[in-house]
Amino acid sequence: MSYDTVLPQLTWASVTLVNAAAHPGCSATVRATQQDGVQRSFTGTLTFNPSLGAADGGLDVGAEAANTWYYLYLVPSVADPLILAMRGSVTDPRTGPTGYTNWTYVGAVRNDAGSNLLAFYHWGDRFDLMDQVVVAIDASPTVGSNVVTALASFVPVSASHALYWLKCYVAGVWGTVHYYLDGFTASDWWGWPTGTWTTAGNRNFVPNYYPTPTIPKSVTHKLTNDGGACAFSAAERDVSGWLDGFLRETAQ
Amino acid sequence: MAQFDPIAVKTGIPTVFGTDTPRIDLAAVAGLTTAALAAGDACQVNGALTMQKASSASTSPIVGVYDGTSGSVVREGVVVATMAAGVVLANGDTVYLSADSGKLTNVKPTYSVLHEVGVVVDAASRKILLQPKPCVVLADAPWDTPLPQLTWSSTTLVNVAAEPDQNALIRETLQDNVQRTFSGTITFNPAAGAVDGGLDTGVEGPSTWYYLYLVPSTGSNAVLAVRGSVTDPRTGPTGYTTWKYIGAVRNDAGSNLLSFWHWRNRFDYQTMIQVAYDASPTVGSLVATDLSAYVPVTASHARYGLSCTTAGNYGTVQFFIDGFTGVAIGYMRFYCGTNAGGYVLDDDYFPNSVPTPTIPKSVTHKLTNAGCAFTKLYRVVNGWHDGWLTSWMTP
Repeated sequence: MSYDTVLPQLTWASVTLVNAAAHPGCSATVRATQQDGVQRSFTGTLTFNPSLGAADGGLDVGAEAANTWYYLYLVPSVADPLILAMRGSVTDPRTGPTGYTNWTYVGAVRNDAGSNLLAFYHWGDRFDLMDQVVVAIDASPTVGSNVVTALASFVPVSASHALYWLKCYVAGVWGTVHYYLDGFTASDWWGWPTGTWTTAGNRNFVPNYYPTPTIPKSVTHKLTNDGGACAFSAAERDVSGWLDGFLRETAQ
Repeated sequence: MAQFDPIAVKTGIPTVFGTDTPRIDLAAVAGLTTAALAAGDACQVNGALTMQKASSASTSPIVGVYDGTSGSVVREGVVVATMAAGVVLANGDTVYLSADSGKLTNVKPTYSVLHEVGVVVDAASRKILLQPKPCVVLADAPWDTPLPQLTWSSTTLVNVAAEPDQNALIRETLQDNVQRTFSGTITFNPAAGAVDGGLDTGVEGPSTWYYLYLVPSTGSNAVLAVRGSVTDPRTGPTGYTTWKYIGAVRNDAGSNLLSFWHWRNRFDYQTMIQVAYDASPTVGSLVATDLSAYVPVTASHARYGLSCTTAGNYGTVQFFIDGFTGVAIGYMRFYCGTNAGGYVLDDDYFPNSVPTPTIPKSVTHKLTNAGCAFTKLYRVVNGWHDGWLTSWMTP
């Protein structure tokens, strides 16, 4: 048995199709040793189309639903159990796809209300959304207390970090934007990174990878009016991607 | 990685496998099923050690024929095989399971478990007959190491050596399945011309990307040297069929190598590079920035951003990924301006790093004016992620 290869790269092909193939620079054959100790492989490109229903290249069970995360797995194909096929599942890799004891998780994709797969760019453990998602817009944002932003619809449960950011208009001096990680909202006045300013204007607070260690995924922030004359408005919370903590490659 | 040889034992203590002919029996193998088999069906082994009916489309070796009643696979010892593309057999060839979708090959693979299935005894027949034979497993060879780290040493020299926490000996298996090594530091100097430590061919040109490769050295085929090439890893260095891509460097108009910091797939310029300056930047329409001179064709992401001066009311700065300029918002949308006016702001708009999936590499941005004036727009690059450097991730 040769060594397992790097997991395949997922490529968004259309609103109905995602391809899986070896990363550039790697052999075209992807090999993965699965739970039964058997190494299986595929060569070239596999496809995922959730509208196919329960079939190789489609889902593990059931039919496609809207606004759904699909966790993609390499599984033994129906035609040849030594050859890998791709199937999507609503079941995340803590459990694995329904009906399979042998599988390898390769990443997660989401469709929208019209069942269109969201466009993304994947390399290693990094997924970038081609069109950022606006999580929330607050004309009069909460100031002085923690605000929890649920990210379940924006990053999969397998996300170790969310490429998340906050921007808003600030006037007066001075104030602070605090980010807190799940379960660590009271541990420190600063929290995770912060922003300060001395001039009124639109501010973009650090597009960065925020750790999302717990499920359901969320990030907490707090705006503080520290100088007594700081006002916040037009706050927008965005997600542009995530790092997948279930994929062993690192691409940050 | 390991090697197998049915005849010669090269290292280690031999272990003999497979002296019996292939046979799978319901009584002997727990979990063995023969569902959907009929008398006379050809059978193949599947991953769960069950049998399934072989079809003409099957790519796995057929190991026998089911007798239809006893639960046994009969005609054991006869393996009717499908060969990998391009394989030409002769009687006496040793045959192995191939990495090509479970087909067979007569090229000895470097697998770490037994994959030999027999010896060809009738190459002339339409169906190849394979006679199982003993096989000896040799000791494992060491794994390939992570790829080396490139270190800018001077405007004429880049060093290549193991990462700080790794053994100084680099081992890499090249396209011919031969593992080669080097120890310590080897150097790349494009001014040296077509020699080990220099280029694959020709002489150094200015303002050029050099893609660096480990190749068999001139002095010893087992030892690795570094050579640079203007040819990227979609093709590989000129004159070499065995090579390993390890990163890209660029020189300037004076043929000085640009300084950088490299760690795994990430390259950071030590001095940020100004791609363009616009005193009166385009507002309201898409502007594509060609990054060919600033990131190599291997870049999966460019560390790219904008700095500009804004005055007056609200505006936005949007970044779009190649081929996705028609989406609603784009990869990232930044706010800018002062809303109430009265202030002039210098601000920076830096995505973490922007995906650059297509060649030639580029990023598109759009400035939107809702009462906001833009001036002094700088477009800058401070590094890239190399999407071809995946080998270090191999477990």
